[in-house]
Amino acid sequence: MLLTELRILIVDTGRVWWRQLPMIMGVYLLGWLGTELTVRVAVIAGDISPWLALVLFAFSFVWTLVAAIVILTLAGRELGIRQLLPKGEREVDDRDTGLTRLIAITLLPFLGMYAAFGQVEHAANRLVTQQWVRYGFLSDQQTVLGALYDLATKHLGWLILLLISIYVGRRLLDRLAEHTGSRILGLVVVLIESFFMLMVIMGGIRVFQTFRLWLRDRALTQWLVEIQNILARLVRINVPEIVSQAWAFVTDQIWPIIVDVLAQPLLWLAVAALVFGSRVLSLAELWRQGQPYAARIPGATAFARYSDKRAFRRIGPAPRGVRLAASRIQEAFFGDIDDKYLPALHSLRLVLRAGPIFLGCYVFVYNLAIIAQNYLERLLHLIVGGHEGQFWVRWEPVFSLVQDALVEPVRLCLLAVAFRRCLEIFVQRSTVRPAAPVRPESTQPVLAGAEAGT
Amino acid sequence: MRFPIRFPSSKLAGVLAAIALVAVSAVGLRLSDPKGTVDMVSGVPGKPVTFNDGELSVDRVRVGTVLTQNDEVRDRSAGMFVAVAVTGAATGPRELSLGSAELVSKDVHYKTYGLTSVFAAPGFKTSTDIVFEVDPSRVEGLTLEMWRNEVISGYQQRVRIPLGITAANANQWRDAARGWGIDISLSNSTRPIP
Repeated sequence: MLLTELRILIVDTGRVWWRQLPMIMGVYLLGWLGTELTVRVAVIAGDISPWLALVLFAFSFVWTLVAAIVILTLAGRELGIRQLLPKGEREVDDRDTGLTRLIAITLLPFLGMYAAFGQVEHAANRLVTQQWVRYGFLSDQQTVLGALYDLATKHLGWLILLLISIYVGRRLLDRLAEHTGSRILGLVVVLIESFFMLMVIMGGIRVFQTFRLWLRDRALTQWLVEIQNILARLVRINVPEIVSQAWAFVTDQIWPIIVDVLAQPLLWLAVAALVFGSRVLSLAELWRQGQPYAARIPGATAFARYSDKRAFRRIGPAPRGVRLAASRIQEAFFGDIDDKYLPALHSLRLVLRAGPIFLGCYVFVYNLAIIAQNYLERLLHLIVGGHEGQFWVRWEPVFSLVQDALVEPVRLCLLAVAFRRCLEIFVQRSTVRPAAPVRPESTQPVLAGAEAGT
Repeated sequence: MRFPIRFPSSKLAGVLAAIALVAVSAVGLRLSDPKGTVDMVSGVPGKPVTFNDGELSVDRVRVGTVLTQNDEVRDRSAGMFVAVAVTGAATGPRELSLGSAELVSKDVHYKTYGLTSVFAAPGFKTSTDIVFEVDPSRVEGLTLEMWRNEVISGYQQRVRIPLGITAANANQWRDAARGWGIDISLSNSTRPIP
């Protein structure tokens, strides 16, 4: 069972990567070029305003995300993920396949993960390094995140007002883009969204840090420390020392394993699943519950559109007057959150139910890719040898391209293969369990890759 | 006595296998992590080691418990001082600048006693004493490591020269240090490379 899962994940990933290699590499290189050019322009734009640099810095992530989405879509097509849907459900639907829509729903989890795993900080450090090289270390020119940190720590009210304004502006443009069907407006919405997300995440981190520092100086914290000391004197066992050692063990040994080894692969799989669309996810959700797709009722699954969910839950006549206005406002706000930000959580919940063996194997293969990337970096170091910092600043884009271009597409293909495998596992459950009442026109697909007993 | 929670054996095996795979992944990630790795350029005492910016050699190692400068006692140690006389030569087109130094034994890293750096302009060489205060019971295998001090650093070179203190001769070094003074008056000199 274990070996079967490992074989499927490794062999299928290799196969998809090889078959789609020219397309995948082309897309990846375009994404890389877009990111690098945007970062270079952001460095120069820092001469005019750090805020302009910050806006461009946020856009650079959109390039990376677009490339990842397109590669996942290509791999998904090769694996026939959308073919699992019954024919009638496969019609082109902007909600499922529109690039701007996909970017909108994946942007928060994507930037959130990047921030949580230190990649936003890494990218910001790269930009700051480039700015240092440009201005010199002793320059008083404000760096890219300096402006945001100042706002978050010294003018929190302004930051909140700015975030609300951007959010409202984005929602209005979003509506306009939906109404007119303009792709350019859609793109503008995505760019605003990326800036908004970066502001929320990076500003939020700074606000949280400021709050912790504030809390540390409060009398309440001192009382707690005093209580801790009294307890230590009473109990005779050195409680603070034990707590400190336990905390050190958790933060130094356990937490890195949870974050790097477990959380990162699982969250990436959840975000990748979003790329394959709400209909495929609804299908997976139904199979997981042991039901065929024909049992689907619009609005009944977590991945349904917010308006469908409300219609599904509504009992009685449609609201009128003030209640109608309240309902519209509620839909405008919560609908946006439910449609764009919650799918990532539902998706994570879904993939976590694929079973321990699959998840263990997937985490292992995912980490194999990261380990390979680490050894590739070591090999490059061995070939190039040690050099001073300036050398690495100059050549860093080339070296990171060599490493990432070889490993990143493989990692993305693995995500697509792993999600397809999740679907296979769910479909097996739906055929093994006693099924719910099935409509006569049920078209349960049979997967070629599904193996009995896995 | 019965165990309160009963797992089906296949499920338990699955969970254990998953935990084992995660554990193997964690070990693999930890071992492969390239962060903090450096390009070690090793040498031996008395012979210059060539690296990107030039050459470095360990000329002499002195030990003692007292540091003197201009016939005045500057400091005494309950442990022992190790003064490593090094010469750095900027043989290439760039200046040689080694701003960081450590004395390393099996599990201990000793920082320098005071600020010390080896700096030479292109075409010049400089000699200096780098002083460390160490624990006499942990001197076996002491090795000098020096590298460029940088605000932004990548995979950089680190020169590594063992001082020649082994388990066999460690007692002799300890005895030699006892009550002995190290004079660091003429510890810095720069001259052109002939």
